Amino acid sequence: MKRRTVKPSALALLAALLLGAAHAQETVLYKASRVEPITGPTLSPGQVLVVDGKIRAIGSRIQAPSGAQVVDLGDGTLMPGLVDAYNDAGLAGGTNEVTREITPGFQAARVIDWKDRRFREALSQGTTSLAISPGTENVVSGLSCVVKTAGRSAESRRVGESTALLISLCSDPTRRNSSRARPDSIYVRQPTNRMGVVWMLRSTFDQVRRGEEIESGEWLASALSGERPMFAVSRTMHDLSTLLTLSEEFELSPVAVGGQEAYQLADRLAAAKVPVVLERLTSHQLQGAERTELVWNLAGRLAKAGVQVSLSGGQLLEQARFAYRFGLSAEEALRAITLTPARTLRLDDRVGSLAVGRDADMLALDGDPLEFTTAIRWVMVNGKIYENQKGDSRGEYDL
Amino acid sequence: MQVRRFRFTAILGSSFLAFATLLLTVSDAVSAPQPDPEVLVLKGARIHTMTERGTITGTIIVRDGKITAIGADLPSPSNAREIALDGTTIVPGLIDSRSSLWLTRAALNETSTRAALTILDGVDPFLEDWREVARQGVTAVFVQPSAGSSLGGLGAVLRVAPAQSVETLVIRSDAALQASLGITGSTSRERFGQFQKLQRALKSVKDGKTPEAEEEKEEEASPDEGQRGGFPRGRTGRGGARGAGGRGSAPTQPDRTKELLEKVIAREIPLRIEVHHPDTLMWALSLVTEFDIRLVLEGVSVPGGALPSLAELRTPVVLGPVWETGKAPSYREARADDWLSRVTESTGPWALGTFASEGRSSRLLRLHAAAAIAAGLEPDAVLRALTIDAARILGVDDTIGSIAPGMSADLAVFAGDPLDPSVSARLVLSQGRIVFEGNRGSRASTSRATIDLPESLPASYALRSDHVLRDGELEAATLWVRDGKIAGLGNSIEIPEGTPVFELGKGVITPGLVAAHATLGLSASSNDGTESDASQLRAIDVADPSCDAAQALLEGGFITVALPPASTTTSAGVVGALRLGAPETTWHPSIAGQFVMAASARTDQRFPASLFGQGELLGDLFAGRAPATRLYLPPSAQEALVAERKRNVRAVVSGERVALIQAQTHAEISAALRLIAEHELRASLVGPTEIIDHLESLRALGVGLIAGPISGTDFDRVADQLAAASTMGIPIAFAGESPEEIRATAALAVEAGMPRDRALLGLTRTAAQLTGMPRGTASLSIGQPADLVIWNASPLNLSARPVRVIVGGNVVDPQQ
Repeated sequence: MKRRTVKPSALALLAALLLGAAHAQETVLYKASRVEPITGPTLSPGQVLVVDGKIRAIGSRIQAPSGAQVVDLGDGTLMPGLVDAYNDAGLAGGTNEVTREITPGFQAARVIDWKDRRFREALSQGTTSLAISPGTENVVSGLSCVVKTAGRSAESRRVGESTALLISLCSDPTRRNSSRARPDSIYVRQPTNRMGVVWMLRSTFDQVRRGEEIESGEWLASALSGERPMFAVSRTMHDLSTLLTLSEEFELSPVAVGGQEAYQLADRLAAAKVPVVLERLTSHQLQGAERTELVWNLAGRLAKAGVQVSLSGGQLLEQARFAYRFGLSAEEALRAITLTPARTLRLDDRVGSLAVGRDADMLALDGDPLEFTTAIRWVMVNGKIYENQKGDSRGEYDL
Repeated sequence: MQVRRFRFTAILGSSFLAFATLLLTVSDAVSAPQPDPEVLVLKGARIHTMTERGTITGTIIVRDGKITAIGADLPSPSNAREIALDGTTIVPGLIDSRSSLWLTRAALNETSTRAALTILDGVDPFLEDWREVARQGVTAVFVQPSAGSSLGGLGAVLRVAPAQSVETLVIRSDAALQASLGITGSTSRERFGQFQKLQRALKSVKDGKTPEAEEEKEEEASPDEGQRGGFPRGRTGRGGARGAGGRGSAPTQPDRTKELLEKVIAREIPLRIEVHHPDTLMWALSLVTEFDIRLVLEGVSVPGGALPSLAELRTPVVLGPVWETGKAPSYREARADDWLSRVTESTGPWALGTFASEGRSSRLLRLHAAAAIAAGLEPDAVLRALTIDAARILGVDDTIGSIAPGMSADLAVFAGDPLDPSVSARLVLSQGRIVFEGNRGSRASTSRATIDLPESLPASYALRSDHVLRDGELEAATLWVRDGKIAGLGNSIEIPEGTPVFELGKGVITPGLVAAHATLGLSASSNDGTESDASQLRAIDVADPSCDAAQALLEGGFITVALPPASTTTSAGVVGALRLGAPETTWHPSIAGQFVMAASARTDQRFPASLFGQGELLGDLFAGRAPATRLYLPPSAQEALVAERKRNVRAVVSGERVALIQAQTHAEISAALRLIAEHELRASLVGPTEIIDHLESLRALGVGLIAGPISGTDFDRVADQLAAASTMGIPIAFAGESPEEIRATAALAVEAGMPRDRALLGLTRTAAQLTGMPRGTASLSIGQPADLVIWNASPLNLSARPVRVIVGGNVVDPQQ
């Protein structure tokens, strides 16, 4: 492993600069006719006490402490800010280092464009935490990084630095590569087919397990040992089935990302306790081998089989409504965009539910979150409210 | 599907807007549509009326959008809003006689032009570009359908002001019928074909026939004014008198082309032809004699032998673009350097146009004007070309273009010389409404001077001027030069008797300017993309000080050049310094290392293909872990290569040389700053564009900026950011390939509020410091080589020219 010689004085200086202004001590009680804590039953009415950007108390009979400000949402609904476990918003300067196939040291956290407009879009759609993930062109792509979609400074927005290791168990890494009759360069990018992808994964896992030195191998080792989540982009039935085989072989507990054909293996995935992070559900095209509308209930069928399902890729609330409309239970639909992705990323002690000690990331809605006509009133990140309809809050989105 | 539209995403979606707003709230306020002030009194300014009254100092009274009175000492009406403008200069709102403002992308890209088109159908009154244009004092523009074919359609004069509809923008909807000859077609024969087509069309209309069917078979009913006003488009045309009778067209469809050409023949609207070659110019002029039409010419790049005819007919012309960086289109390539003065000497009234392809580029109109003055034109004539003469040529001189009672109150108030682009506008009015109000920048300190200095100078001499650049300020001083070096400098210095002293009066003496990052067009020769660690390359090894780009820089007053290697590799090599015009042109072979975090060094073909990889590679290099070379070389050669690379990187890490890091975007700059902090580099960023969030870090880390050239298509935010950074104390120098480009960037930054002294230093001493040049480079200090430039005004004023460039005490002969 490479060790950097870091000059502490200069780094501290930079960190101090990035830290920005500390916000003032603030105590606010939010009251709504309906509060969805996700970790427990719906509170109706309910209150959430927010102190200094954290949830201090939640319940149905909380009195405002003296000096606290009270915000009454009337017949509105409060729920946790949404968590997107797989997204590439903010990833700047290339989503993969394609000059190598195995790049476990590729850290999304190092190359974030904090001003990417996709953060603002995600925020406006209710997403407060987002896992910036490297692309799928490499066999082992690198490390995702979880950030808040709004906040004064880069430091205050970071939730996880190198959260999950991304591998691609699909045909994406073979794109652009072709086998050649004779080498005309010292370097020919591999693999050229899906079988090659699996071979590369298997041999790399073996190398790491045997303790052989590979570049940035420590990241891979920590994912293989289960210390860090391993997200495997696997879409088709073959991808997923290979994932299960490799999991058995190397005793892994991976997360399947994509999962377009996961319904075909729902029971096996449930038995192996492999959570699935679904890539964007869409209604405009029919996916899956059967190409029938059945696949629109992908999330519902997985959940029914006992698979932990998360929705990802933006427009989370819309996706949850869509999944609910086609068969996912209301409770599961809300979990799939909050607590389940937070657990999958192992950040559920900070985000994904309304509970004491969690970050004050909340959505205030006009009514039932799963009703298509319900609007978002505001989105809160770390205790700070971002209004949706006011045009004067521009300056607050700076980073 | 979005259930509800979020207003803030709509607004904030464009990060540029958010940023612009941020800046504007700090410094200036572009007024939102306000209630029209009843009466406005502008007091105390110097007023260029552009009428026979000439220039006066006094008061203008504006009522209901019009000028009602102007005079030296007018009493203010009661309840009038008085604005004190002492020390400023008021001119009629400037006019860009060839613009693309307000036009939709579709209209700009339109290729199948035809005579029946009306540019007003391509206008989008909700575009935002007007703000940046208004900020420069431009209050009216002429737009027309694109000039691709022989007959292009009807052009219009539009306001630069907030608009609710197209109608509120229009000053004149039929300013000219547009045509062009020779924009397409490279041979004289092809061009003659275009001319014949135009001639036939005019002739048939004159003979009372319908012009032969060429392009006017329209699928839709022709647009006309009535329909634009919101009436449903129908197949019946308007009940115009003679329109409906044409052969070959359905009786219900009036022949719009014919109608328009009839108006041209009847001299109701001028025919405006863009020509560039001598042959097309000659033919275009022949139309005047043949049909007695009103003709306006555009372009006139290569008048050649047709110039006497142009002089004889005194045909009005619209000239431009005068300020052009990059490659000119093929039809304009052959334009001579003295083109502008030759054409304006022989023609009738003339106006200037930016000939811009983007709406917001019209904001650079004053840059074109300054370039025209630098090319030798009289400032008075240039100001007329932007105001009254433009208004006359466009047929709107009864409304705009001069300051007199009854005229529309379209006015621009500048803090100094209106034709100095580094001077910012204080106030801009359109129809009496304030469309821009600002308080940026400082006043220009110099005016143009005439200078008398011999072509060759003795070994020892002294120069005396009221404006010698010392520490960013222009002060009176005497500069003594002996044996090619500066021997003395000060207000009262001892000079041996008999030393000739040259009085330069208001002429400006600066050290030779510094181009902080200029490739001299040599990138191709310093480009070795085989491996991304090319630290061994030295740009100085391919330097050619006799190349055209270097000569242009020297003649433009730039003596010292930081010459970088090509930016296609992440560690690009060693930057060298040139001293142009000197017997030994290498000033220093290795002043800095160039490192590229920008996209130009990323390629899928080799590591690194991503910004992350660039950061990794540079982190490894700076930490002393240079990757082994993969080049197929004998082991000893490989060792030598790697050792040389390491040596050059070590020189940067140790602080002996500066690190010049190319980083443009937010994320690239973040990554660069991380490296600079980690390795405590002495560094400058080259070409940064998204710096506004990094200002604190830049200042704390002591990182300077070498700003890339600002082009016509850039937004004002680029200059605004530089101004913000400079105000915070971050040192800034300027990159660019030509002297005009580099000075324009400095001038635009000053216009946006960068302190003048910092900008002057940015062209000289700061540039030398930021690029790691030897101490004393580009500053007037005793013992330094006498590398001087004598200007007829401050180099920040783009209408200034270097009168003499002196290297090592000797006047540089441009012929050499």
